[in-house]
Amino acid sequence: MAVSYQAVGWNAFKKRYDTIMASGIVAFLVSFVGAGSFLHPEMSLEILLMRGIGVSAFLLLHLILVIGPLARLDRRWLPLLYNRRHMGVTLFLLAFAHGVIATLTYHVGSDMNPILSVFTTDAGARMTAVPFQAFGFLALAILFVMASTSHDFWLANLTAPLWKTLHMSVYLAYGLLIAHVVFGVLQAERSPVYPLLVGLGILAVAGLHLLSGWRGRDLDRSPAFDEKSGYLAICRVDSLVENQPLGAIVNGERVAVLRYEGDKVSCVSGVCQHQNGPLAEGRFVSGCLTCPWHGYQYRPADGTSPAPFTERIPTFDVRIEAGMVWVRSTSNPAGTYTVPAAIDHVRGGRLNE
Amino acid sequence: MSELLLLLGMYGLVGILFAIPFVLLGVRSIDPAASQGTVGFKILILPGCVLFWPWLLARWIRRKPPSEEWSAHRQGASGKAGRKGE
Repeated sequence: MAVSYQAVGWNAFKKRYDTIMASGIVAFLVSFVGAGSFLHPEMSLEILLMRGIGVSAFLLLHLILVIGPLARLDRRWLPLLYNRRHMGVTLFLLAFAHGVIATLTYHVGSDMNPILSVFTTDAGARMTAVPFQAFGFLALAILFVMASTSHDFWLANLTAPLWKTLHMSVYLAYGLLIAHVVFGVLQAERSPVYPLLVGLGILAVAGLHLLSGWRGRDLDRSPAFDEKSGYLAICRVDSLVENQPLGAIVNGERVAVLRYEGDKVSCVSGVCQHQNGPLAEGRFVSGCLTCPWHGYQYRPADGTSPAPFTERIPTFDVRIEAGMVWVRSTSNPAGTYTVPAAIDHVRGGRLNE
Repeated sequence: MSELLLLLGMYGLVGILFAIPFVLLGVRSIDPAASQGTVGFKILILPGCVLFWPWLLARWIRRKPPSEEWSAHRQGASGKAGRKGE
């Protein structure tokens, strides 16, 4: 959270995160080039480096894609999600380096424009009918758009829903890169190990997404609606765990219902203003509902970030009746204070507003 | 194909010519949070400004601040959404 823009809001965690990521990539590249020059002494250093950088980018993309579902399945993965944007920018830089080396190696030196040559000339692969380099180029273009709009300035100016839609194109880039690998390097390999590894990668990405979707299916069920009162029955009072938000669907979008400070119950939109993070999967920290993705905070009663921050999300009227938590189906404007419903301990939360 | 590349190149060139004065002068008029933006921030948003220059130029001319983001709940609060939970 910041009130004015800076390049990167560094903190100790981000520095540690980036150090580990950079060290891992360097270690991988050194190992790849070292092992490659031993196993394939005929291969030049630039080819080994190009392949090593390409493989590291491909692996990093898999990691980026599985962090989301892994964090939904097990909260211990959340720290990896926190700084995923740096992984995305690193992925673009690696892919760009791979593309530059490949273009310099295979497409510079003739009369043809090197970019045009990428789309029309074979770079040594055997399945020449399929333009595998074009797949890689288009994926790189998508990664460029994503990396160049990764800063919060773009998030605020494009608005989170549009920004999110734009960044969902990572799945298109992933598909293009699978085609780039399958129709490119795999055509030149005889070992079954490489296709097997690519298959396992696809299986991991698809499988984890399906599994996390399956596990979260209860959250997307509609609660019962009372036409007369305009309220939805969200859950039983005794099923609310203090300081642990509960998600439900209201008006087609998730809300976060929170029991806090003993007997208070409030409800806010479950969509974080920053990157539309899932607030219902967050925590109650220092009097605020805290987004699990990047720590954006909102007071549960008024959906407002503590000063000096200015983010605000819609709130919902809540009442407790017959042991049930009821939420009004119509939201209040972002930042509207709503009186928290109180759980009547004497009557065991049976009837109170 | 070569014509398309030429067009893209021209788009990028105009984008570069636009992006430099925009990050130095224009960005603060479309986003108040950018008025005290650091040099590093301005460098980081440069590539995106090259990419989205027509849209940013239109906003710079109109001095249009960031839009309030849309969501079903925000729209619901202004009385436009259906009442029933889906």
